[in-house]
Order: sequence, then C-alpha cells, then structure tokens
Amino acid sequence: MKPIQRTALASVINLILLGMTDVQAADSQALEKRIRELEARLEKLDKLSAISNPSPLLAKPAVAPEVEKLSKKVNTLERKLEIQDEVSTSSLKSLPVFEAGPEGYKISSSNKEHQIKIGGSLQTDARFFIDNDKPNFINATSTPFDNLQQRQARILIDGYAFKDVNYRLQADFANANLLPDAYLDYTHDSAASFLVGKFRPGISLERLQGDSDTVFSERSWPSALAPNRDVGIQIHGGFTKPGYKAEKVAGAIDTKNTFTYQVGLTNGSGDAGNPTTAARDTDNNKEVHARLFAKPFEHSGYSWVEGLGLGLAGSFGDPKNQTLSPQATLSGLNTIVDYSATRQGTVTANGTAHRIYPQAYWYKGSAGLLGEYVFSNQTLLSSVARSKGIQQDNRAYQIQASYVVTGEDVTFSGVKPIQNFDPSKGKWGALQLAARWSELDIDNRTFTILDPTKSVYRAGAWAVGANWYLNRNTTVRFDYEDTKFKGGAGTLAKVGDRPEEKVFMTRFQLAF
Amino acid sequence: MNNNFFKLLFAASLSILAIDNSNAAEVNLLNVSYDPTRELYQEYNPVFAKYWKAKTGDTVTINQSHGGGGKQTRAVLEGLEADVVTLALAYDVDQLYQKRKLIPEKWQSLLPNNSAPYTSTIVFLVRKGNPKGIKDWDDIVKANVSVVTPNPKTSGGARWNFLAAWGYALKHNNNEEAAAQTFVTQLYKNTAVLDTGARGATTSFVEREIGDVLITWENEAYLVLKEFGADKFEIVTPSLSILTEPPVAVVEDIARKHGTTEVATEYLNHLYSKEGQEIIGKNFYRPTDPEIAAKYAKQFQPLELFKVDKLGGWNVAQAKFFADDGIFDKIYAAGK
Repeated sequence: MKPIQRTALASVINLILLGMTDVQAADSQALEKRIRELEARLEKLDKLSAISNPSPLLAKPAVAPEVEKLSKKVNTLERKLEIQDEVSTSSLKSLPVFEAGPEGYKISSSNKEHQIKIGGSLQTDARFFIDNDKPNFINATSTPFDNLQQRQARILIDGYAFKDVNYRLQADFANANLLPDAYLDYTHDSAASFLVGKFRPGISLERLQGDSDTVFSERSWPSALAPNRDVGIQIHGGFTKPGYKAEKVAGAIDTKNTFTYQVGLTNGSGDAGNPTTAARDTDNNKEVHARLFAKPFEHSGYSWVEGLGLGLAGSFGDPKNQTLSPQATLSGLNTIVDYSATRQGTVTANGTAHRIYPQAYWYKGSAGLLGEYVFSNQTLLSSVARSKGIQQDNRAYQIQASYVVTGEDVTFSGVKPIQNFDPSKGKWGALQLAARWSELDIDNRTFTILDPTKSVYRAGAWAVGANWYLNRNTTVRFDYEDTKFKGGAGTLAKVGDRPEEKVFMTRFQLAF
Repeated sequence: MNNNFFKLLFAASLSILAIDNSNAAEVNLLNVSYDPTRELYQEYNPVFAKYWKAKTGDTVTINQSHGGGGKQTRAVLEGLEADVVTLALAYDVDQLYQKRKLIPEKWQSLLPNNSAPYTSTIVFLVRKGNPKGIKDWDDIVKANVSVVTPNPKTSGGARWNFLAAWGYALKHNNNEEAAAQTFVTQLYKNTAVLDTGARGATTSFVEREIGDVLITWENEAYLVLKEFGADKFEIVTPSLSILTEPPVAVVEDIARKHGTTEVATEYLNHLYSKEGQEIIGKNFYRPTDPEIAAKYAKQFQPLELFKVDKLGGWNVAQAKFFADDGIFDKIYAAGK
C-alpha cells in the first residue's frame, strides 16, 4: 500500500476520534473500538505489503480489495458520527437557556418566547442620630434612637410568557407589606401596553426610580406625597422620533423611549400609601392618574441637552374615610406629621383630592440632576366636626445633584462601575457624590384638626451623600442629612419647633 | 363620575387590544414539509405565487422547511408556525389535531383523495450493474448486502419503508408475524446507517457511497437518476410495495393567527389543479388527476401495491411498530 494512502486513511481515523463529543460517549466507545481494530488490520496489511514488495510503486493486487473494504467501513463510521452530531445539535437547540450574572438568574425557552428571571435585594441600614441625647429631645414627638435595620429583604421574580405577557412578583420579608409588586403587563405594542395588578402608579418621578437606583438611600418628600403602591390598571406606552424604533417596555417606568405616557385607574391608596395584599378599598371611588414624560432633545446631537427629561404628572380622586399615612424625616424615618395625633377625634381623607407633579431630570456623563415639585390638595374630615371638611394644600419639592468622580456615567437607572472592586488589582469600583435639598410644607389649616405640638408644619432638609459601587450589584451608601422644622413641639399654648434632626446613615445593599 | 370613567377606560383598553394588524397585500406562508419534496416545491411555489398574484393582486412568498416527517411534526407541535403542512403520512398530520388542536378533527376530508394530492411508493436504488443482484425484498436481507434506509423514529419515509418490508414478509410467510419480524430484523441488521430523513439517506448512499441498496421513495429514486445520471445507478422495483399517500393540510389555528387562511387553502387546492398535477408528475410523484396520471404513467414501473389499511391503518401501525418499545425498538436493539 502506498504510504500516502496509509497516511490519509490513518488521518481519517484520527479525525473521527477527534470529532467525537461527550453526547456520543456511549456509542463512540463502540466506534472507537471498531476503529482500533481497523487500524490494527491496516498496520498488518502495511507490513505484509512492505515484506512482499520493497518498492512502494508495485502494491500486490490481493491487498487492494481489503483496503477498499476498510475504506467503506470508515466512510460508514464517519457518516454515523455525522448523523449522531446532527441529532445532538438538534436536541441541544431545543433546550432552555440558563444564564446567571449581574442581572440575576434567567431561564429562557429555546424559542425565546418564555423567560423567568429571579433576582433580589438586601438593604441593611445603620442610623446614628447626632445630639439625640440632649435635653431638648425629651419633649420631641418622638426621640430618634440610633438603630440598625434590615430595610429590605426582597425576592423578585420577573419574566414573560408567550413574548408579550410580562409579569412581576416581588416579595419583601423585611417589611409589614409582604408583596410590594404583583402585576401582569401585556406589551404587544410599544405604543400601548396594559398593566394590571399592584404597582407604582405613574405619578412621582423619584418614586418610579428603582429602590436600588436612587441617589440617596431614602427618597424625598415629593415621593412621600404620592402613593407608594396601589392596585389597579394602567395603560402605558412609548414613542420615539422618526427614524428610530420605539421599544416595548414592561413595567411601571419606561426609560428607553423618547416620549412616554401612563394613564391609570387605581383604588387610591393615599399619600405614601402601600396597601397590603389583603387590604380592600373602603369606598367605591377610584383615583385616576396620568403622566407624560419626554426627552425632547434625545438624538438631537446637542450632547449637553440630550439627557434632559421633562414631565408632568397628576392624579385625581375622591376618597371616603381613608386613613392617612404619616409623614417622616427622609433619612431618619422619624414621624413628623402624625395624623393620629389630633386635637380631638380622628381624621380621615374624605372628599376630593388632587396632585400635580412637574418633574425633570438631566444627565450628562458623570453628572446628574433631578428635581420634582408637588402641589397636593386633599380634603380632611374630623370625626368630631363631620360637617366641616377642611382643604389641605400641601407642597413639597426637592432638587438633587450627583457626580461620579471615578468617571462612570450616571443615569436614571443608576451607576454601573467600569471596574469591579478588587483591591489586590488596584481596582476600587465607582464613587458617586451627591447633594440634595428638600422641603415639605403642610397647610396651616391642617392644625385646626391635628395637634400642632405633635406634627410639624414645615420641614427643610439638606443632605450630602456618597455611594460606593463595588460592582453592578453591590453598593455601600453614606448619607448625612440635617433637617430643621417649624412646629411639632412645645405646648398648644405656645407651639415650639421640633429639634433639628441630624443623622448619619450607612446602607449596605445587594441588588440583582 | 368615577364609575363612568372606569367604564370608558375599560372600553378604551379593549379597543386598543383588538387592533388587527394583519396585512393581506404581502403575505408570507411557511410550508413545513417532509424531506424529499424540496425540488417539488421549488418548482411549485413560484407557479402558485404567479397564479395568486394574477387572481388577487397580492404577493405571496412561500418559505419552506424540510426534514424527516416525524421531526417536522414535532417542530410544529413545539411552536414552529407553519401555515400549511405537507407531510409524509396521515398519522403525522393527525398529531397536530391530537396533541394541540391546530387543525380540525376531520382535516383529511377537507381536500380530495383524503387530502393527498399525489401518491408514491417505495423502491430500491442500487449501483449501476446491480452488483449484488438485488431483485426483490428477499435479496436485501441476505448476509452480504448493506442497506441504507432512514430512521423510522424521525422519518416518515422510513416508516413507509418498514411497512413495505413487513407487508412483503407477511405475504410470503402466510401472514405469520413472527416470520415478518425475523425478516425485518435481518433487514435492519444489514442497515449501515440510519439517517434522520429520506434526503439524508440519499446523501449517504449516493454521495458517500455507503451501502449496496437504498430503500427510498419512488420519486427520490428517479430524481437521483436525473441528477446523478442513469449511468451510475439503477432503480429496482420490488414485486410488492406499499401505496404511500402523503397528505397536506392548512394549519388553521396558525393560519388564522397570521391572517393567511385564504391563501394557504388555495395553495393546497392548487396542487390538485392541472397546473399543480403537471408539476407533481414532472417531479416523479404519481398524480391523482386521472388525465395527468395517464400522461405520466409510462415513467413508472408497474408493481403490486397494498395500502396501510391492510396493516390496520396508521393509528394501529404507529402504536404497534414505531411507538416507544414498539416492534422497531425491539428489532433494532436486537440487530445491534
């Protein structure tokens, strides 16, 4: 046999051996054994050929049919392996795809029509109040104590079925309200999607920001005058400029499209309202809300204003006998407006209520600004003087600024560090510095019902903060906030001012 | 106020969801077919598109998917959105009703000839000169003969092959099933490779030169002679074979969703037209139109044919021979 024929045949045999995959292990062992047998026979024939014919050009005719037979067998084996490979590849294609990473854990069907994503968040806070052991705190409505708190312990399940039926289920084991989010969102068309369940109504801009994405650990007062969560339906959609394709976005907030809207109908959970799963509405009246938001200079090419977003939101309702949630300091979480502390009787929201929220943000590179103002009006009714409802006009606003000193971009969806924290390699993550001013004004007419020594009528807070992003999932926050008050202390004869609250807090956060 | 507003909002929501965005002016159809029909539909599809354009003014683009019949059925059941299926056997099409109600229960009565626009049969393809002297089924179970046939688990044609062999063995052994099983066991013992589909088997035999005889569709055998040359291969017509009746159906559930019911129905109807039957005859299938069948009769060899009904019909045959732990599983394991 010619050496080149032997080499070619041996190469084919070796290629067959190399081409085997783990999936074919069981059959491949049998095939491998067969190939070794063929190789042994080939070697024997080669020796016979060398002994009987020293010249490679003059192979004996008796050897050729055997080689041809072997060649056919190798062909057959090759084809069998190809078929096995085809079957394996086809089977693998139909398998679901599992991914794990900074976005959580995802399982998607092979045809991409179904997906479930599991995520979560942990927030552990430490709060240290400065001067809270001083005598002037003794008469304060509540004395803030230094404390450690498990602020959040959430499991989040997101996903979609049949491409367009999105869902979210979020459980929080650290708070009395076990189920902050539970909704379906049918997003067949980017222009109009239909969300139903328990969700954040589209009113306050900062409320719509993810809990892990806010610049400060706690949101400011405009968020507190809007519902935290409510149960109802919301139609939402997004549009973009000509030449660009609008995206279908599921959920309560759309940060991808240029023009977005939300219009919804909910039970009306009240300021800072967050109904539990078992809670039922106490009246037939519902609350409607609507929000428009635009990034008018997006894709304009004017980089300084491309990141500008402007919006207006509002709500209207007519609650009956609705319990009012207290208002609290921002970082300290201490009650400063207590609707249960009245001059006499009890007070509820009873009558028309509306809110107007002009809102805006601006982001460019590492710098970001966010601002919001709320005009809030509701009708309060005392159980003692039931014929006399009072109109309560409250105001709140905030302006916050931040800058990522390590150079990463800041967006409404947070900061993603370029380098993960790894001190052994000299990598420290990302650092963001921030400052905020926020004010809350409670209508003076409120205090014909509320006890002015237990609730403030004005609060103003300035805060500075630093956020250290170790990686996309892990953040350590440091906030210092100083809040001054008008009212909320003293006696009915001589109402005094609640002592200034100074608090330093830190938060360790994991979110994925 | 609030209740009226609620009703208005709800009605508006329903209106938005009811938007129908089907587009009849330019239509896409997906024809999921079995393995060897590529050339048939390559020729038929532009002809039908031209016919449809002339009839309605609409442009229809037909996309094809080909593979082993069983595999194709599973693909549609798992979400491949076929507007029509043109498969190898009625059992496979019927699974679309049985498993997911994608087609009506009486789908087979919706088109003529039990929804089979053509028939075919199973023959042997051998190398020129027929070196192993193969004349009939008995010859392919001899010890020195290497056979190529696809896998009945994935290929519709392979199931027809199996039943043809079984039918022959029954006839020549006084209908004794044990003898038939021995016969078919030897056949699969002689099988060199089991491709996933009929076209793959053709590739193994013709291009890879594996095996002495290929058991295949009659149309596939003639196609090989046409494409590779009658100087390289020969067709051997056995004394007895099975009448294959590959059916077609509109996948109504999916066609309705795509807004293609009308064009999909006409796509299959047109296979029965003179124009469609001509293309069928030219591609070596046996037309069902008597006039066109007579025209192409000469290209086929006469042989005795039996129908699958003789073996109890497809439901019985599938369960008995090809289901898990059926006769094929037993004989294939025995033959290894």
